[in-house]
Amino acid sequence: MVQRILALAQKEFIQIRRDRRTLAMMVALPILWLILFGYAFSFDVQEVAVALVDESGTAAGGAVARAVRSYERFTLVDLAAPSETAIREAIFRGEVTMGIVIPPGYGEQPDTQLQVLLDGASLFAAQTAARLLPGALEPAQAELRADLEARTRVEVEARIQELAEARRAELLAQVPPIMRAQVEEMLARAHGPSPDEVTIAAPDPPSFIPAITTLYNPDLRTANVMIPGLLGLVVMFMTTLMTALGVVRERELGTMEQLVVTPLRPLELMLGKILPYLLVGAVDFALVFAAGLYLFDLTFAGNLPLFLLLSLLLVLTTLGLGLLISTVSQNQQQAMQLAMFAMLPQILLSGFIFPLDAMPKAIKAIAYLLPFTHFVPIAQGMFIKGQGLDLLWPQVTVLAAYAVVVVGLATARFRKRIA
Amino acid sequence: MEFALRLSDVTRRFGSRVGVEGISLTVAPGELVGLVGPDGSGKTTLARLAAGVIAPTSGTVEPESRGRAGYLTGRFSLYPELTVLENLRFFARLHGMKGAEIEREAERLLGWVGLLPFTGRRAGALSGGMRQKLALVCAVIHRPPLLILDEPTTAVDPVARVEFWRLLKEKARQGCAVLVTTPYMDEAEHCDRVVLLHEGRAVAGGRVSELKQRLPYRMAELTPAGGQRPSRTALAEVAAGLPGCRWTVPLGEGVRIALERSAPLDPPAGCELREVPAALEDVFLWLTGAGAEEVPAR
Repeated sequence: MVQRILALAQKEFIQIRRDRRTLAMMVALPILWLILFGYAFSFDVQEVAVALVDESGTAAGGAVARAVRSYERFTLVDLAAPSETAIREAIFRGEVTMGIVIPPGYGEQPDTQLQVLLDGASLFAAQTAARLLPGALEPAQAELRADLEARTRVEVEARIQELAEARRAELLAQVPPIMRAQVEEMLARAHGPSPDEVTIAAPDPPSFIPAITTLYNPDLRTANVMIPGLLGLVVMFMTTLMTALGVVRERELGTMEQLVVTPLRPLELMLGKILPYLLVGAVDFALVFAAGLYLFDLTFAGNLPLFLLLSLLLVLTTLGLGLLISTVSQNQQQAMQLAMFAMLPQILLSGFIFPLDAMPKAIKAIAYLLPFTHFVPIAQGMFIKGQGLDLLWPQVTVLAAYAVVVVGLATARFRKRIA
Repeated sequence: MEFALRLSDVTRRFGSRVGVEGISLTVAPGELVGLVGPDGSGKTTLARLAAGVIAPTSGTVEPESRGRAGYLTGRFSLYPELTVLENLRFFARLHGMKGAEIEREAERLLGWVGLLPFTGRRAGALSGGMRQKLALVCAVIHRPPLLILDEPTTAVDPVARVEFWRLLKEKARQGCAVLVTTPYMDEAEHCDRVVLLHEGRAVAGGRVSELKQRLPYRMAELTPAGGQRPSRTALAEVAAGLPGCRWTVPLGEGVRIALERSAPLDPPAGCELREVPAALEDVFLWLTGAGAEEVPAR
């Protein structure tokens, strides 16, 4: 039995090795997806095009303008005639994602507010801009506070000086003229508190800029969240598609009929077919994993053997799915289409790309029917946060159930179809 | 009687469609038996039943030959990415053969069919005839007592076809029971015995010479004589008008005619009429209703 399975697996490997397109797909696809999901599918925009119109003429306005100009992730776009209308025009033309108008008298007259215009058509850029703005304004606030402190200090000093002068004059007026020189000398010797010695604590206005600490993914990088899911995606794609194609190719070639008349039993045929693609999936898994660690500087926070074990649950499901597809496909084209039909919803609805919480209830219900939806939280939870079975057991249970059901179904269908 | 394959009253339906019906057939060791019939007559279904690829709806197939028979189909059914030797090794290993034994048998068999110089060539790069030889070798590497071939010479050139039949006869002489299907009546001449299939039923069976003797007609060929070139229809009309004509079949320049034995062989004006030996095709036409059927042209 083992000899027959190995013979089949070895034959499969020779075929894979000699078929350049398949081989290329196995190596190129994970790399392509790494680039796509790791770099291109980044939803945070690095640089935002910003237009600034300062109509304030005040120090506060000037400080805000300076802060915005010097913020490294804002690229200032010059407007021909700075005005709100010009900003709207620039946003319409797509030259600018965010426009900031500093109104006249900003910071001095009451009811003056910064006006910010965002380009909702550039969804992710606008979201990033809005998120970045408070941070960009931080230096302005610091500058204004320092300025306020300095001004208050000068005022208080002047007032003390003034009061001291007044008291001296008052005292001298009460003293008979003959004593004045003496009193003046005494005052000079025991002079009161020097203005320089008075430290003035200007009242600190409450800061409305919160201290945000992002746990687990401090830079909020997309790649960190994508790559764990991508591990599952690559493996799912390879195993489902390759298994389905591998079996259907035998049928197309007519070799299936040859295999049927050999002592090879259906279960052996199934195992011999699955084994090579399991290995291919494992290699791709390792490839993406290594890229995650070394190319994207991720650290795996969880229990690695457990993660591999849970990934195997997904792989069993996807291998079974591939076999099921092979039992209903007449040719490779059909198998390919069916595999896509089975995988696309899983890619789109699993929460891997779009958040599940953003989906309407009905779609969400469908999403939870898909095995991959239960793998994504496992991968992300274990990879990023180091979660364990104590938290992930519901997902693990569902995934395990899927593995059992799909593999069972596939085995039954496969035996029937071959026999 | 000793048999390597016995089908008893075998019927196979595909849904409501009948593949083959009520077929009984025995192949003895060392016998080369042909299943002959046009496309759709049930040859392939019968071959698959005999090989154990499909099970009969009713009737029995003995032995349950799964794993025992060598089986070969007319379509190229080897792995094109694998070399000649790799294909052969693969099938040998599936049959439980081991390293040294495989290499020895492979060399012997590849030498037998003349493929030894091509062991490293990919099967996909072989010619049609070489492919079928390789398929044959793959089917017999485990020395099966029974060999079933479904239209093995369909995409093979005439020279290679003759060569292939020689190999089959040799295999039979070595004691292997061989069952071959073919749509080509003339190929059936290579067989010890043939079964004529028509619409899923066996219409006759026996040695080819016996079957020909059963034909109650004499066969003749009507061809244009001299410089005349009458149209096909005209010639067919002339032929059909001959006394004692049972049926006519267009054949190259002329027309093949089945005549009553008592009918005279008088050539009509402008034509030549000569008697020709009966062929299996003629027997087949007689058994299936006189020329109504298309016979595969060669």
